[in-house]
Parts: sequence; structure tokens; C-alpha cells
Amino acid sequence: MTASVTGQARAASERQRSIFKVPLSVALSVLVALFFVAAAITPAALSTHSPFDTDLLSSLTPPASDHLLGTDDIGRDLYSRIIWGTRQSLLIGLGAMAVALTSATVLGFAAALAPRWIAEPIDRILEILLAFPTLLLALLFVALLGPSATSLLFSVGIGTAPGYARLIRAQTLKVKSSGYVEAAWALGHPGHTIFRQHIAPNAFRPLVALFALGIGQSVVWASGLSFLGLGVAPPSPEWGALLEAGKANITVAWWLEIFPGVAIVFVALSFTQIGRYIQDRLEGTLHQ
Amino acid sequence: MKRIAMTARATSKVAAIVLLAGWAPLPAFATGSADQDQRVDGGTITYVHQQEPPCLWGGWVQQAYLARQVFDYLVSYDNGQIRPWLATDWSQSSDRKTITFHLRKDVVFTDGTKFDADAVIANYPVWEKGIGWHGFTYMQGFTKVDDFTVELHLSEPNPEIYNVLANGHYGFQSPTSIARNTSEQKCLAPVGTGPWRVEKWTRGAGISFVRNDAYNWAPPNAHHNGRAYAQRLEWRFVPDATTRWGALVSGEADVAYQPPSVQWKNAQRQFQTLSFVATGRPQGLSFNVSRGPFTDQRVRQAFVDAVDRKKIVQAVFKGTVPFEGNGSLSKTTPLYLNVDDNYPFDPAKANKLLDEAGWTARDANGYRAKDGKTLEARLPFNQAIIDAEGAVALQVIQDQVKNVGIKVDLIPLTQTEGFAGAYSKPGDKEISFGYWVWPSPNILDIVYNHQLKGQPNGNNTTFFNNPEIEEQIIDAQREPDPKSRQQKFNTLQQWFTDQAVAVGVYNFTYNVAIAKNLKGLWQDQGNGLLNFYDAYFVKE
Repeated sequence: MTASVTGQARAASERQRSIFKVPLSVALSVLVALFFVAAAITPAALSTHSPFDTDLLSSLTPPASDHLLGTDDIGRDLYSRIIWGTRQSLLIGLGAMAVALTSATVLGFAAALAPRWIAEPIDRILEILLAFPTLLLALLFVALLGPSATSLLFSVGIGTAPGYARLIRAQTLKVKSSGYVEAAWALGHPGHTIFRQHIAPNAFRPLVALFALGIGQSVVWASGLSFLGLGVAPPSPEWGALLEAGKANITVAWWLEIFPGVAIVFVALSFTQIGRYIQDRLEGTLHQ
Repeated sequence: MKRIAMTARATSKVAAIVLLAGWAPLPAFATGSADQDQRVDGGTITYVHQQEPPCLWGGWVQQAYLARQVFDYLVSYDNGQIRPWLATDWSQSSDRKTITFHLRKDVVFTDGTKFDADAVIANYPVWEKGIGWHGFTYMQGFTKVDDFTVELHLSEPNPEIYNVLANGHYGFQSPTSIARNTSEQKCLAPVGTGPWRVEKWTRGAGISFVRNDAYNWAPPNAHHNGRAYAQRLEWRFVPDATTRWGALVSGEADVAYQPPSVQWKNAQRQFQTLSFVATGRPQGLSFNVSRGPFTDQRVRQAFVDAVDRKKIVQAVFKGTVPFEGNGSLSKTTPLYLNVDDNYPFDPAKANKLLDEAGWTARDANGYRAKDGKTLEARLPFNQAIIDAEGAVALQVIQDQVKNVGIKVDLIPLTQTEGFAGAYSKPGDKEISFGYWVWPSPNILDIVYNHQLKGQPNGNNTTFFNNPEIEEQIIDAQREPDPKSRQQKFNTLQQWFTDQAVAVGVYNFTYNVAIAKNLKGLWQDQGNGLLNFYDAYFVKE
């Protein structure tokens, strides 16, 4: 009994130490990510003004106590617009990753496991798509679907899918030829059981980290497309649209470019950092 | 000396019109007769412009800007006066339906074809096909009298016909090119008699023009005759205003179209500037009067009462663009009526009118509703016509009408979508927003006539259909007596304002900033287009 209690205490202590082993950068990234997630869930609780209310008498007001991050050219509170824009920017990032991973999973497994006459064409198509830069593919889909939040989400998602599909294909092929899968075949397990119990979980593992890494990247791509006027329509406070709207006034109102830019950088960095940390942990090579 | 006298008269006329309206523009020319001594022959002028039209010529004012560099015209428009150009003189029949033009005999197209009566006749079907609203000019065609005399036939007397012919749309192309060149060649590199010819159009980038060395038939309001001073003109398409401004500041461009308003004071300090309040119809709100909530005059009036238009224009454009209350004619259009004091900002009155109109219920989002339907308006806008600052003004309008319970959905359209006809049918939208550059009050005929050649008139964005008023417009247009004509157009403008069929917001204003070493550039007083023919560099 005593030995058991001591063992539990040791385990708890190790867990605690392990928590403290989380690098400071990761801890800060989690805090930043949590802040933006909270802003996306309850923007009204964190904002100080309506993101859409104009006040022509307060246009281009520098950051001050009544407008923490200043106002835009028609007097809208920038801090509140960034907070409200978080939901749209993060949803586009998350949605794009969901679209990318869903389509990549189907294509990747099909390319690795389907009969040759199905797998080969998929493989070739993926290779052709990979020849195009991601942003160019996304631009193509925005041109086809028209500028909107939904089309941004799908464009970025579809644009990034080929890379993930190739990764899933490679991972699946590796797992498929591993000893434990061959052993499962030898033991007479049916194919769907092998897929469910061995192939899918092992092929998916690297995607957990990629998902977190991809959110940050998708937010950057989506903001980039909005900045080019190919994203969300005004007066939406999506971050790329904020950057686009602010650039005409950059010489007289620096805050209109700096703060939305900082928000994008913070989100991209924090999710990337978290993704890398998860990746390292999964690979068992956590850097201290 | 003659040139200086003309420009002074031009400036005073435009200034008189706009000062009456409480807004003072800059003179529409970058002068420098003293700089003539310092003139450098040749050189390349680089101009950065916003919109890239599908063809070099056509019915859009952006095409007129380009066409004017390559084509010449029968007559020229010189601050309210019509003066000769390719036609040396003209006369009209007693019924005012036939005009006889005598043509210059020394004019040659850049492909070597001679300009004569046959060239004029060959161009008429091209105009008819390529200019969408051509039917409103009441032209029926030209007939040849002799090699250098033509008659223009009209179905209606039209005192505005000379303004129309002087406008950038009605230039002449080589009949050889019309007969032999492909549609694409005629679209991208039409052959004219003008001071420039197209060397190359690189889609998405710009057009390279080279001067026509044989040019020797400039209009009388030009500053010189003979070939253009500069050797080349590079017309670049740069949609973003900040980038255009950056190109000018960095010396990459010599002339920048529509710098950001926030930079206008800098532009005036560091560069030369030109500004022209376009004639025609201003940037304004056109309500769909054929279906939906704005068929009720009270709802239209309430919408206008709820918007502080003067303050919006001042805040967004920072004095670079004047407020315009008149939704039918802009300040510089002949026979304009100033209605700037109609519909002052009055949200209380707007609420009262909406209550009276029965929009008393509220939906879950606080917008007004009637019979379970939200008071909602779709407002699509073409981003090639409404620039980024115009879009900001629309966002303020959207926010202000929300305060009285009206929901506005802003729908930005690309140039291609807009011109392909997206959101152009009566069932597609409740409000339109846009301008129309046109040098005469017969713009009312173009934008309020419900039909064009028996088909629905696509320029009628209010979907207005009132035969009685349409007849009054034609009657005003025909009226030969200047006093009665003014009276008739005043009555019409006041009627459209009172009915709130269309109300103005701001005047489409063609602002440009010019490098200090480029002189002689001037703006046509018909539609503000830049005349690069007279522009020259000076030694720095």
C-alpha cells in the first residue's frame, strides 16, 4: 500500500516536472492562442466598442485610453475590429485545415491503398497540383468561386491539400509495409480491421502536429488573399481586409497596419510553435 | 497668347460653376509657358492609372481617356464652346435634323489611309455597335455629299449633338483597319489619326504609345500644333491608389491618377496637381423604384434623411472631392441645378417617415420589418467604378441607415462581374451606386429612359418607367431657347430630387498628381481626360 502511494506520488511529481519542462515559448504560445480562441468565441466580452459603429468625429485617432489601438478613417475602434475579426480569421484557418485534411486523407489513402488503376491517376494529379505554388492554387480557386469567407476557406484548404495528401500517402505506404501490418495479415485479420487498428492511427499521427502548424499558415494565406482584395467583403473586420483598408492611410495612421499585422503574426507564430512542440513530442525528441 | 487667354477663360468658367456650389477646384492644366524655354524634346511620360478597360475604345469613360490619345474627333469641346477639329465648319438644316460637316483635307491615319467622307461613313456602324447608349444620341447615320463633306442625320433635333461628337467616345478609326484588321487588333490597337499610336498593350500591365510624327491637325484648344513633344507615353494600370502614389514619389511614374485623399495635401506641396469635377451624373444612390421597399417614396426619402452625406464626403475624401446633392447632374454639367441643401441629415424625420410607411416592427437584429419582412437593401457596386475610398463612404452609409433600422448589404463586384451584367436586373438589387461622365444634361435621357431601341435600357439603374417624365426630358432636350431649356431641366432635376429617385453623394473627380519636371499637361473640359499631346519635360 505504502509502496503504491509512493509510486503514485512519484508519478505525479514527474508529471508536474514534465509540465514545468514545457519551454517558455510554448507556454507563451498557448497563452496567446487561448486569448485569440477566447476572442473568437466571445468577442463581445473582450471588445470595447462595436466593430461596425462609425464615428466620423473620431476618425484616425491614435491609440489612447478610449480607443486602445486607435481608430480607422471612419472612426471605427481598431481594437474591437481586431477582436471581432479573430473569429473570422481563425475560422478560415481552422476550416481551411479541415478541408485540406479531409480531402488529403481521402486522396492520400486512395493513392496508397486503392487498386493501381485508381491510385496511379490520383498520384499523377497530386504531382501536377504540387507543381503549383499553394498561393497560386488558392488564387485560382478564389477566381473560380468568387471572393467571400467561404471561398477563402475552400481555396486555402484545397490549395494546401495536395501536400498533405502526399504526406498521408507516403506514411500509409510506410505503415503498410511495416512488420506489424504484415504480421496482422499473416494472422488472418480482415483488411478493414488492419486499416482501422494499424494503418489509419499510425498514418494519422504526424497530422496532429501538421494540423496545428497548418492553422497558422492558413490564417496567413487567407489574410494575404483578403489583403489582395480577394477575400471577405467590407465592412468585415477580417485581419487581411483590415490591412488592406489601412494601407492608404499608412503614412498618417501607422496603427492601422501595425496592429492587425501583429495579430496575424502572433496567431501564426503561436500555432506554429504549438504544432512544432507536438511534433517533437510525438517524435520523442523534445528539445529542452 | 491665344492659348493663355483660352485657359484663363476656361478656368474662370469652371471656377464660377463650382464656387457657386461652395467648392473650389484647381485649374485644369499644368502650366508653364516660361518653361517652354527649358523644354526637352522627346522622353517617355509614364502615367499610372487605375482601371484597365477591355478595349481601348467604347462606351465607358475609361475607354474615352485612352481613345482620346489615339483618335481625333469632328469637333472639340472647349469649356462650353464647340470648336472645329477634323471638321472645319458645319451648318444645320432648318428642322435641326441634318448637319452638314466640311472636313479637313490634310488628315491621314497612322496606317497611311486618308481621312475623308468615306472614313466618316465607315465609322458610323462601328460606333453603333461599340457604344452601348449610342441610341440616345438620336443619330441615324452619315451620308456623303462629296469627298470632304458629309451630312449627319438625326431622328430628333439634339442641341447636345456637338458635345456628343466632341466626346472621347466618337473618334475615327482607319477604314482600312476597320475592313481588314481582326476584332482583337481593332480592340487593342485601333488605328486613328491622333497624336499617338498604340505600340503594344500588355494585358494587366499597360499600354505603350509612340507619337505620331506626321500629326499636324491638333484642335484649337491644344497648346501647340505638330507632333507631340514627348516621344513615348507609357500608360500603366495600377489599381491600388497607394501603389500609384508610391510610383510617383519614387520617380517611377511622372503622373499618378487619383492619389489617396490622405496624400492630396502632400501632392499639392511636392508635385503639380490637376483636378476636374466630371460632367454628367455624380456618384449617387439610385433607388429601385420598380419593385421592393423603395417603390415607396417615403422609404427613399427616409433613407436619404438618415445619411449625413456632407459629413461623410468630407471625412472620407478630406476635401479632394466635393459633396453633390443632385443625383441627376453634377456641378460642372451645363444647366445644373444646385440642390445641396435638400435632405439635410435628419434621422428623426427618417424614423417618422418609416413609421408612416408601415415599417414599425423590428426583426431579431433590430432592423425594421413589415409583414414579417426585414427592411433590407442590396447594394452591389463595381469596384472599377467605386474605388476603395468610395467603398468606405458606402460603409458609413450602411452604418448610418442601420441607426434608423434599414439593413444594407454591400456587394462588391469585380470589373468583369459588373460589366458582365451581375446584379443588373430589377430583382437583383434595391440600390445602385455609380456615376456617368457626360458633358451635357441629356444624361437624363440616358439614365431615366426605360427603353433603348425597344429593349429595357441597361443604363436605367433606378428602373424608372414614367412616360410622362420621359417625354418631358425629350422636350427639354429639344428646346432651342436657352432660357426655357434651363427652366425645363431645372424642373426635372428638382422633380427627381423631391421624389428621391436618385440622390447625389459626391462628384466623380479626376485628380492627378504630376512630377514637377513635366509641364503642359491639361484636362479636357468635357470629361476631364488627360491630354498628353501638349505635355513636355523641362530641364531640372
